[in-house]
Amino acid sequence: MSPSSQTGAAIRLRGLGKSYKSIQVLHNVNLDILPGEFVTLLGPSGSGKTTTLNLIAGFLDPDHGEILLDDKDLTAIPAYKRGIGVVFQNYALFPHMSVAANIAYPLEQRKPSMARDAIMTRVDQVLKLVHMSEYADRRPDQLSGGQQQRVALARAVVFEPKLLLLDEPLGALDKRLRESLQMELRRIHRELGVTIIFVTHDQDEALTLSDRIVVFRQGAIEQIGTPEELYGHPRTEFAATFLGDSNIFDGTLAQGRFVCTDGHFSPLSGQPDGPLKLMVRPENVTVLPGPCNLDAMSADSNVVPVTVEDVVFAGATVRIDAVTASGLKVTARSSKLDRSLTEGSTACFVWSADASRIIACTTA
Amino acid sequence: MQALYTPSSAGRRKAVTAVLLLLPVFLFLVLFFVWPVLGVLGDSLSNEAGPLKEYANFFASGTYLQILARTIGSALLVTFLCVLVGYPYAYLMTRTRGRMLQVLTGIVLISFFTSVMVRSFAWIILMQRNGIIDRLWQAMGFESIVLRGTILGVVIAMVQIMLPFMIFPLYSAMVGIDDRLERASASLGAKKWTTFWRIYFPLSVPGVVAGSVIVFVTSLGFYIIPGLIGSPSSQLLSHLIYSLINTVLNIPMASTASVVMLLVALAVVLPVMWRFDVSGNVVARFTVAEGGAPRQSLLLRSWAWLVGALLLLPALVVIPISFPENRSFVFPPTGFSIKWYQNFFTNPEWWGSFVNSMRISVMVTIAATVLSVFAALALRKVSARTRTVVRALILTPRIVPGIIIAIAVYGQFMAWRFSGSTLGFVIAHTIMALPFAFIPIAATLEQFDKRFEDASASLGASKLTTFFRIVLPLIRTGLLTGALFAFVISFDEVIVSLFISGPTLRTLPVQMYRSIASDIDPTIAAASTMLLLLTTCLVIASMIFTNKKVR
Repeated sequence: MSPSSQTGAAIRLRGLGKSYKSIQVLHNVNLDILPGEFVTLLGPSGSGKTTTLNLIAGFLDPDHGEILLDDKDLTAIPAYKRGIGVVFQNYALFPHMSVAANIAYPLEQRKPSMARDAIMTRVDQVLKLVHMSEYADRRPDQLSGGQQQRVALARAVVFEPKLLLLDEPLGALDKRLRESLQMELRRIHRELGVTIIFVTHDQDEALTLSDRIVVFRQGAIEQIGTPEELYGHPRTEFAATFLGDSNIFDGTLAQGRFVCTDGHFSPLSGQPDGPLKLMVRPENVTVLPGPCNLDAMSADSNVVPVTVEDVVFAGATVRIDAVTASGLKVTARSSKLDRSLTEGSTACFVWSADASRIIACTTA
Repeated sequence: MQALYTPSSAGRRKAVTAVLLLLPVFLFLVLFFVWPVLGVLGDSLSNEAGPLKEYANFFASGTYLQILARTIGSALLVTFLCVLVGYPYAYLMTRTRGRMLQVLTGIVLISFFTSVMVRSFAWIILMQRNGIIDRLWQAMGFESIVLRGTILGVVIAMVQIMLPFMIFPLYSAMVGIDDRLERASASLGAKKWTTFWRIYFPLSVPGVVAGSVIVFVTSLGFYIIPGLIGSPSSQLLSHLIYSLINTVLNIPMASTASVVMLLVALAVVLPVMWRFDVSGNVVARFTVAEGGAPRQSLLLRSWAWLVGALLLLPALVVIPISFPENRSFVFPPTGFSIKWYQNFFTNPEWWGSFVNSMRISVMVTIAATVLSVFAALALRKVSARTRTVVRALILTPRIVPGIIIAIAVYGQFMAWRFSGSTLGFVIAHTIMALPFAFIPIAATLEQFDKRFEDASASLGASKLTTFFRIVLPLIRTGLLTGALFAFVISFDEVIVSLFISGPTLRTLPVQMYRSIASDIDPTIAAASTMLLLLTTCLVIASMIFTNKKVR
């Protein structure tokens, strides 16, 4: 198979909504996905990400809205005519068929005229793609979780769909295997050029794999962006806390200054006065032992005096959990372990003005 | 562009499919089961002196009341004895592994699948004057004891015949009890006996209730054993109904007695029906668990082997008496010949009825299986309330005493001129086979993961292709179990068949019944021996087959 022998499809969701009984599980979802893009739908369980996937695949019918695949409306087309590859959460490999028969199945369905030889050649090709050639005659229950995952992927791409949907495909695997399959998935995405929509609740997976991430919350899209954008500039508290760790300070903006009892903050420009939240990622915080000495710091610095609660060694980094004067729990991450920081000792959290992020105050 | 989808169109499509799938079984049961049973009710109210006159007559008759009391009493006794005898056996089944479990399971299955007529015939041989029991009794120095013709004989034989119906639900309730609970109870300081009464027994109660309801209702309307082993002086209600119809031709009184019996059955079934899945437990699935199990006490094991012997051994008596020289059932038999076997294959009464039974059973199997598959498929698409109603309708024939179905179908089929025809048999047997076919099929479809269908659709297969290539192969075991049960129920059915068989069309069980009731012809022993061998081989073969599949 030559690289990028296929091109992915563009997907547009327009005002998609769905409810079960009286519960609205999806509200007015709008989303544009470019051809060949790897997009992750991220969110806690029940946030609507899997429902969105099932609507695109055609396993569910939307209450309103439309799904456009390369500008063609899919809503009235049954699942089996959509030509979308799906990898299921628990793989859904047919237990009564061998690996090869599972992979041949979509070819038999879609191309009735295809000769047996051609089908088997194609099956071999795809098995090679996922490094499973030796397992063609095995039954699914004779394979490990990781191997089943590869077969499920092979079965979903064998008929060269322009769009591939993956529903938490790595959820059941252990960490090491998950990471190696993530790399595998990136390679296959590059080789096939197919558009991928990937559902997960694992933020690391989303950050590693995606071109763009769509954060879902309570049946609606919270924020869309590249991993860098979402991590670096979350727009809401939910996005900030769901993707990565964060310290969030509640306060008000008055005459260009963020006022909060927890500490001294750098001037903020370009914001109207009013209540505000300010966020800083733990790895951007420097921890100085001892009480804060405001005079020794530049006016641009953010300074928060804290009491250390715990110092946790976490492999590559050290996590310092602390509490501010108002009782707010805050965290910093450092690459070095400072021996003078112990439980109960006084310390000072400091970060530069450009590490602060302003978060919209949503009325939740 | 306007959105093409309205919420109702998808829902409507689904509802239409469900209705189309449910229509066959619904029409079938309403037309051939519900309507005839209502007909019985109508007949019971048809007395010109007033609708309830017939009931007044029934309850004014000391004889009838005595029969009613005796019937309820003996059904209660049979139920109680079945619990007493079956409970330790089922318990031991859940506490053994490997070969031992297979043997215990095999014994119940062989007993269950052995034709009721074969088992009844065996009991007659055992219980008659100078029969085996009588001789053993005398050999021990007691006076002659003839159980045939006594209520005691009837109860003993009924207990043996009903036991599998008790053991299946007991086992299926008990096997779900986590044995860690018993260990937990022990670790909390409870003695073995306390643990049993406080923890284990309460958890097994649903099985006791399910088994008891089935055994009670079946005993209530059981006709064969009372008819063949009982005597007119200890008549039971089913026998009374039969003679009211066939000898006295008093249809209104027969209908009244039937309605009374039905009310007694409903009084027992209805209170528990909604709390326990009464009929769902009739057919238990047996799992061959791996690993070791603690050795159980000698007392328990001895009890289980005694019950096993009771289940298995009586039927064996038909083998020696199938080879006598002379036309007699004397024990021990004299001489040796295989002429009774030859007679089975050459005599048109025997061979013809066997062929009829095969033909009818095959058709019933197909009809019951197809109707069950349709209904089970539809049940996945409907609301929980509809599901309960449909399930109840399909399972109702299981909890209506056989004699009532018999007189209902008999009356209505006479009017429709189905009586004595192949069609009549197939319809009547399908009513009775439906619950048995439906339960395993619905159970496997319920467990069937909808994701397989989604996966198949995403790979380009239409609904029909998906059904044949994915769903059908994956529910195969449940389907085969359902089909097997349907076949056996039809092949073994005798109560309804006795009513609707005409001079030209008899099934094998009817032929056997007539043979026992009328003459001494060892051909029935030859037929019984062959049926016994056949069921034993089938059960062992199917156990080997499922065991292989487990590995």
